[in-house]
Amino acid sequence: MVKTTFEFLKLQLSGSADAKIHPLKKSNEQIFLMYMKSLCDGDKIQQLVVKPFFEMHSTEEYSYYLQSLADFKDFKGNDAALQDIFHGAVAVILPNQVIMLDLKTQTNKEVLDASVETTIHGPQKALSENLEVNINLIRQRYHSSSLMLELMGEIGYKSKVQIALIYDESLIKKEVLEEIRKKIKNLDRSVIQTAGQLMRNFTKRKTLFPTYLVTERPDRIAYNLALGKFVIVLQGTPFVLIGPAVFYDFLSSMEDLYMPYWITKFLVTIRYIGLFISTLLPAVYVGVTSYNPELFRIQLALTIAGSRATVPFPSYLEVLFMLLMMELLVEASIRLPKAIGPTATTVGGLILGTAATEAGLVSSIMIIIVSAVAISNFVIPINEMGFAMRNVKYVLLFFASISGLIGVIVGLIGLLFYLVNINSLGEPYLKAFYSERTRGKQV
Amino acid sequence: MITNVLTFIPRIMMNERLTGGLLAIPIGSIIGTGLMYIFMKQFSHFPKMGLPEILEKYLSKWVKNIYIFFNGYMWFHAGLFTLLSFITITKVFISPDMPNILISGMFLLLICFSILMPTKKVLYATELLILLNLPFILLILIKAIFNDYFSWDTVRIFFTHFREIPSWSAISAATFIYFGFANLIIFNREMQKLNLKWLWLIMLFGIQVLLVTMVGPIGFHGAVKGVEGYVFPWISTADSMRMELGFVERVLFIFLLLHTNISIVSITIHWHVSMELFKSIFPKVRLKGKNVLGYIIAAAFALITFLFAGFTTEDNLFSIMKSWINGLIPAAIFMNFILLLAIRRKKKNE
Repeated sequence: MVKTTFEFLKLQLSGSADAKIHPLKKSNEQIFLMYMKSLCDGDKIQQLVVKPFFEMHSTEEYSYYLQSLADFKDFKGNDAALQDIFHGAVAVILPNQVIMLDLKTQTNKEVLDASVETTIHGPQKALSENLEVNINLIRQRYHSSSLMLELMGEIGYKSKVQIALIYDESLIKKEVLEEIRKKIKNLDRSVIQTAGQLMRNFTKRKTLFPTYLVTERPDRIAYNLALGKFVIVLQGTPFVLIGPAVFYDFLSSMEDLYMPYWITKFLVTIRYIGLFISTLLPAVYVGVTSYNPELFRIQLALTIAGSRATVPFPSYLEVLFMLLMMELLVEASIRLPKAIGPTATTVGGLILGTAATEAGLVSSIMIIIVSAVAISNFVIPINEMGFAMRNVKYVLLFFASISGLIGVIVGLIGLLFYLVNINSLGEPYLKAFYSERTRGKQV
Repeated sequence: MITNVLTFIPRIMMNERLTGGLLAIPIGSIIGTGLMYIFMKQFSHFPKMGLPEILEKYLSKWVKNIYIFFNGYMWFHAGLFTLLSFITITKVFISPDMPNILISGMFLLLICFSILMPTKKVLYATELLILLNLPFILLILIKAIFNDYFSWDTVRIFFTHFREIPSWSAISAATFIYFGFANLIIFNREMQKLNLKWLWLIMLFGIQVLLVTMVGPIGFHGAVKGVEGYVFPWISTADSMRMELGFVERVLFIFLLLHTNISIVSITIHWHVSMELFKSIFPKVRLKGKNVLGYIIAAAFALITFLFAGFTTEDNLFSIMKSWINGLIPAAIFMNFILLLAIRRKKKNE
């Protein structure tokens, strides 16, 4: 039986150059080591496997020694052994036994700084790209005994990435847990690398608004675990997936818990104002200038009309043109090499802004509106919601172009109805009075 | 409740302001609250069941079909009147040069989407919208009462006519405010327990709403001759208010925004109830495994709205509305009888 395992593994591993089949020979016995050199830690193999072999007298003792190592893994058959080798295990082929040891090199262990969601007063470090280190960091912030960890195996039938599900057993709802377990089991993609990809595969229809939260901050993870949500950690990415997430979660930042009460209220108000400005302003501009100029005070209406006097297009074209330029600028600045960075700012500011106004292509009011929209879009703390609201503003602009202010109101109320209609794993997405108190916990 | 103030009720009551309008308010309130109390008590016998389920369980099938069809029809008309008057208001005040079809089309798009939501979500959306609009309502109310041009003298003239006996239309119009409870026939599916404790607060609130409906325009425009000429009394009242230092100078636009939101909420609720009632009597139509009966009914509603908007004028509409309202209180009492029958059957079965 051991012989067939040996032959099977030798056959499967013979293709790659980094697969090693290494005999250890003593005067009276010989064992084999089979492992992938690029995945395993050479030092550990030397220390734990090779040296003791030559220090112990009998294979029997050596086998007991190996079985009592911390990295010992059960041998569960040829296929499982092959999988394990490709995950960094070492197969020790003894004369009558095969022992698997998990001696993989842990790479990418360094804990990264929080780059996407930064706070002033809170912890500055995010998670790392290694699953074990991440679980360590999460447990260090949530020392409760009811925190359960489930290793749900590997997902992605080609990439085979480790996935872990973490939740607080005493707080989470059973239906949510069942639902997410079912969803993980039903994944059938070949390569899954990030939490965002996971989120897309969990939601069957094509959605605009995110229903799971993607974050890298351990304090946010601990806070959400205490609210009864689950956390999915993936090997190879510092971003985790938290669910179920409702609308208010996307507009909350961890800063809200660290500052005094009224400062928090003020910041939340600013965020909502930013949200309304970034979605409504272009549509209201089109509605007011082209359909209902009598809405504003007479002085304001005259100012707007005066600055639009030189523009040769109708208002919706002007708005669309400027918004498009702004979107291109924002997209490009994600990918700019560091040497060209300042050039882009100059291009955006000077050329698109000032020169376009002076050439008479857009009105100066439009520049103000577009910059206000661009800036206030990034007030939303979570990226996905900010991007979703960028899309929404074009929908509202379309409705405003067709039917003026009526279209804006219809679009806004339609958006509200749509948000109310979404479910995030059974929880209502948008609901008045949905604070922690109504969820039954005081956090 | 607040919605009905902004639609066609004021006109009916304004027409009778000197001939019994004032007395209609307390009489209507008492009748309305009484009906509400009886209705809710009866419904508390059937937790988590809507009217179709109650009728199916305790009464014969064809009674259920006819009665539910009649109710669905009545609710559809309630929403239709609000929608048509609302389209007219939009055309007159906000965008006069937009074709009728475009305005109706935009609103019908929104409403047909919103009535297809599940019942619980309609409740959430209603709650959210009303909460968001409450500050604006208070703002306009306060601005109206404390305005320089609001003359309390004309209000006193109006109050001197308290001895006239009101007509049946005025009483029905005043009672209509309280008829929000009737939507419970579908929304009871989501309610566990009905709380009857705060009913007196609702009555107080209703009286206040009715008073404001009548007193506001009269105070601004005059009791005897002033309000007669206006088709939409409250909107003209809002138009005469002015926020000199505000961002939007004419209060009219805030009022219209408010009116739009609340009308949409009201139409959504009425048509949602109507659609659920129709859905419970027609058989399911399956297309690709999904039940599309809801979409068909929504499309039918939209078609009927277009036809109605094309073929009726303001005048016709007003007389149709008046006769519809006159039949409301008898219809409510009839429903109480049917519920009584159902309760008797239920007690017999247990």
